[in-house]
Amino acid sequence: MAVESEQAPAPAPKLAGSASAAARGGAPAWTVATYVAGLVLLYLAQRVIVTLDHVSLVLSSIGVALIIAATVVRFLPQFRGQGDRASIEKLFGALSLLGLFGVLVYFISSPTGQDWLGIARLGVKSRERVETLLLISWVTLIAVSVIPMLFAEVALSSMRRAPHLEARRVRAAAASGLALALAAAYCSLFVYAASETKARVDYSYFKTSEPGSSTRKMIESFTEPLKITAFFPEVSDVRMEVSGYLTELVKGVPNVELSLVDRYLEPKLAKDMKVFSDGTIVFTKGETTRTLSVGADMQAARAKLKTLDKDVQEQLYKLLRSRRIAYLTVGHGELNAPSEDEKTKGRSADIVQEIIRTQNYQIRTLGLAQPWAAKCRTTPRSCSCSARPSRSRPRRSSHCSATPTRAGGCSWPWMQTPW
Amino acid sequence: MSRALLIARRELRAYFRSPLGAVVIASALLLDGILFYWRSLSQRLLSGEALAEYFWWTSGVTITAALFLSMRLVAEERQTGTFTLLNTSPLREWEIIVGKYISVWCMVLLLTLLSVYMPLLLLVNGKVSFGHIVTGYLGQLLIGGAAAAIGLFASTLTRSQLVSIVVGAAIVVVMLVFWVLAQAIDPPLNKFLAAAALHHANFRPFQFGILELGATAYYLSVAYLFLLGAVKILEARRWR
Repeated sequence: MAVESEQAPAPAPKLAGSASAAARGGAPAWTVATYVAGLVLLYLAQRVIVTLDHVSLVLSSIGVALIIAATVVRFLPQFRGQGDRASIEKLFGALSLLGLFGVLVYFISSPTGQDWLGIARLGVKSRERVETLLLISWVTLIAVSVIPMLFAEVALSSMRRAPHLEARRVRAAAASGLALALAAAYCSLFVYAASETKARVDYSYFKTSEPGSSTRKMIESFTEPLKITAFFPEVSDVRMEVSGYLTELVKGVPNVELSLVDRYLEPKLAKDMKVFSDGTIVFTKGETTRTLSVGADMQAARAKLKTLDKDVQEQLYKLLRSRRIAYLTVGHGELNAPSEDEKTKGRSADIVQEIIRTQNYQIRTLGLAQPWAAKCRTTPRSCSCSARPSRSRPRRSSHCSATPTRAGGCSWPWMQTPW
Repeated sequence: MSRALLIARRELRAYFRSPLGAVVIASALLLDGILFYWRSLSQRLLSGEALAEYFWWTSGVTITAALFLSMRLVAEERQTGTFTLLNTSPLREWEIIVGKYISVWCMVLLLTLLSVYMPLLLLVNGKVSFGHIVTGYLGQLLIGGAAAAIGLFASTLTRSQLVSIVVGAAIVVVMLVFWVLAQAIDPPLNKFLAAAALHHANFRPFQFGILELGATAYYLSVAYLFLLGAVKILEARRWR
């Protein structure tokens, strides 16, 4: 045997010929192309033409068939090669199997696969966790198999007709591809984890993206569960702004549940909540709902975003407190019913009325013909006030001197303006 | 690391000896000034909005300047034949790449520091917070660093500087278009593309004075990935 092995390399032309044959052996060059084509077809079938069921199914089947065929070719005896070429084929075979496993994990993550394995029957949070894990797994597996395969094939392609095969070069190329694929996967996870911490510091002068302290206090005072559902497209500038604001608003508040959903992905929920356009925020407390429309287009929503905190506060007021009635007396020269002369001087109670309205009060006027005391006694949880223009204490009129309500309301007999 | 710093010093000297560094920085500052006047000063905006607008536009200038500054780093060495000297010197590939990257990043830093008088005008005459300016500039440095890494990666691919900048610009444009694509395609890939977009979602917090860990991690990761790619390409060249 020793003699044979010593004698084997003796005829030089024969060695060159056999080495060349070894270099030419192994799976043909189109194997990697077939494998990648299969993956591309699978992607197109699953992501681009999803609506055409039959075409999608046919393309998916062809894609999977191509991937399996390209993997099987790697293990066929006639394509195994010899020596260094055999080790390269083993490397390609292992990478192909890894990619095939990635495709399998992808199918497990699909609705059908989830049904088969019982993932669909898990609780919402557990299912989300498993889905995220499967998503990361199949993307990483396919990247880790395809990128090194392409790198190795590029390195090998220049040696296919060469008399000698530099197996180390092919392996180094595959290792480079693997390092890059793993680095990409690691970086993606790193960025995802960093984003999920939601760690942020706001140094802007106008912190429009932060909820005010009064809104925070208001949301903390909810004793019943409150659900905030924001309907925005998955990728939108306005969604980012609103999401930052709402996340900050509900942070650490146990009774409040926040969900950001895409109207097209949750059509039933959108229909139930009577949401027909993107950029709508729905506040739900028990059976009561309040809707705030912000819009999904940044240009249109810019103005709304500036007053987002105020608008949210208004909706929360309406949920937190039942609607009440505020009576404003008229007929004594009050600012809430200013004369034309006072209007031209800019003296009116418009701002006060606006503030009262935002506190979920309905404003009604109370004239001389309507004895307010009697009204307040009969109207539960009401209050009255009269806005007088004078600095001096107003004259007490017959209907203003009546006692405050006994039915839970309150009254301000006069309100002095600051000027 | 000291060998990487040696390379960085050599490259920085080369930037100041040749007109490239000065021309790129001067052009970028001129563009910054025009954009600052056009987008921030000539419009009726609050000071904070004017500053955010300035950061938005100037980030594009920083990306372009970083690409121009990095195009020569490896391509020129290969063009002039000095790369063989580098390859045969006792330097590892990562030391060459890190050294060259430090030099281009220093140039981006110089460019951003020279433009700081514009936001300072807003600070003096308007109502903006100092933190907003610092955060915006941190964003500029991060996005400039990421673009410089892309440019350096492109520079390792070819011996022509022109081809290098075209390849670098193509990668940047593709990464910018990710955001537009993300708005058009279905989940879960749209989320991935939105998160991978070079500018829009990731630069926005910096633009408005918000320092976000996720966006910072993104730019660092992009720079790391492209630098790793550049190192791997140099390693592969040793086989040829």
